[in-house]
Amino acid sequence: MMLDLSAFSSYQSVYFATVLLASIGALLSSAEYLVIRQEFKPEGVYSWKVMSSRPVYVLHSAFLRRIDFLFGYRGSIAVHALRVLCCLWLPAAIATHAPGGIPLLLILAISSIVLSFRNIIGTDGADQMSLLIFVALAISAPSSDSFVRNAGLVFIAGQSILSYVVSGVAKALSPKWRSGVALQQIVNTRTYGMEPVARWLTRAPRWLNQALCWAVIVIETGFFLVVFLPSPWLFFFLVWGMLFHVSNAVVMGLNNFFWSFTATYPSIIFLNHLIRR
Amino acid sequence: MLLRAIVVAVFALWFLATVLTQFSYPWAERLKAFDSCHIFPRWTFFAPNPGTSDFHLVFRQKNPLGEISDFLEVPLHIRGRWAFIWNPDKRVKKGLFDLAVTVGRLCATGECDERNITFSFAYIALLNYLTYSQLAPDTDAIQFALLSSGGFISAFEPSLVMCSGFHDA
Repeated sequence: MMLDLSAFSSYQSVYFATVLLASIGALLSSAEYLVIRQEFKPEGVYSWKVMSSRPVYVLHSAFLRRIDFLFGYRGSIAVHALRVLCCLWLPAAIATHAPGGIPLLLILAISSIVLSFRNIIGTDGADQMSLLIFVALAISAPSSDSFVRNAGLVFIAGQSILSYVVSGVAKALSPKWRSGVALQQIVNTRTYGMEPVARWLTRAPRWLNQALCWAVIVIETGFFLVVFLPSPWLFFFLVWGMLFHVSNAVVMGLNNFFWSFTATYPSIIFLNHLIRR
Repeated sequence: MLLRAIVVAVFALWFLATVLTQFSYPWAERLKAFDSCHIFPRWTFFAPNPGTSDFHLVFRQKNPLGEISDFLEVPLHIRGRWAFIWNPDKRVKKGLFDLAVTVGRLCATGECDERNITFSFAYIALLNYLTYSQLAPDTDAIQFALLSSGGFISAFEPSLVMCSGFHDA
């Protein structure tokens, strides 16, 4: 059976799908920050009064003093509110070919960097992947040269594949993952786990725990194959990735990873088409 | 052609730097130290040493009469039913968790004495949060502690990671 992924061989459809998925993730992320906006006040977890005291030499630069207004309570709320608006508007602007798409993309890219600099705590891999996507698109999408625009998508695909492969190799080097205890021990934590799943894995035979750990190791390590394989196998890896992120969202509460990482999948399919054509 | 070369160079260097920062060698750490905007992610999720214990942040307060309360725990592990889609509390808990992990690491290294820890960013951030967000109005001083436990099915007794002195509120 050959699954038809030919829509993802055109730049415009890949660009739209990437922006749509990344925008949903960024919209959720900024909306979550707006809900807990009191934490950006001087007494909150994300107090700029405290964060600006960190020993980073760049904080003393004239440029950062000039944009300091972006990092305080009001500035942070304004940045997140602006991101919500951009995330709602950008996919619609691209879909309808309305003007303003590139400025919105630039706002999302710059605000991602600003927030990443500001929040030295509380961020995760989903936020970092989202930053990579918006910045790569902001660099490449404004160009009328198809080579430059394609380079942005190839970079996004490369970073995504690198993320899975590095994660797989790091797990393969880990005695806890190789022996099959890692997954049970992770979901046993209250921070990233879920009690029913932890109890089920604790009762499960050792071979099942080993099989689950090794499945993650093998598929993540072999994820680079997605750019070389024909569509049914390419589809296998991507569906596995989606199910993996859905299960991480349900069991571990990592809701944003699904959007940030699946936003890279259209670029992966695009790179697969480039290599295999 | 120049634009093509510049864009390819930017993406290639960015990708290469990301690859290099996956390693935990001293030179890679030095490269990472320049990354104030976190544009070089480390993609080793939950490996090679996954976190298998939970941190608990507890505090107690001293009132003007010198009476000391029981320890209260800041809830770091409560997750809503819809957390798989919508999880704003994660943003607070992850922030506190990162601070707790940093303080825990400082305590575990042995390279830091008590003074280093109390002047660290993570310690000050935790103290700031607890002092302004969690205390009763008539509090004179606050003490906080970090504990480690083994999760839902615990293989070990909870242990003390760090206990602060009393700080004026």
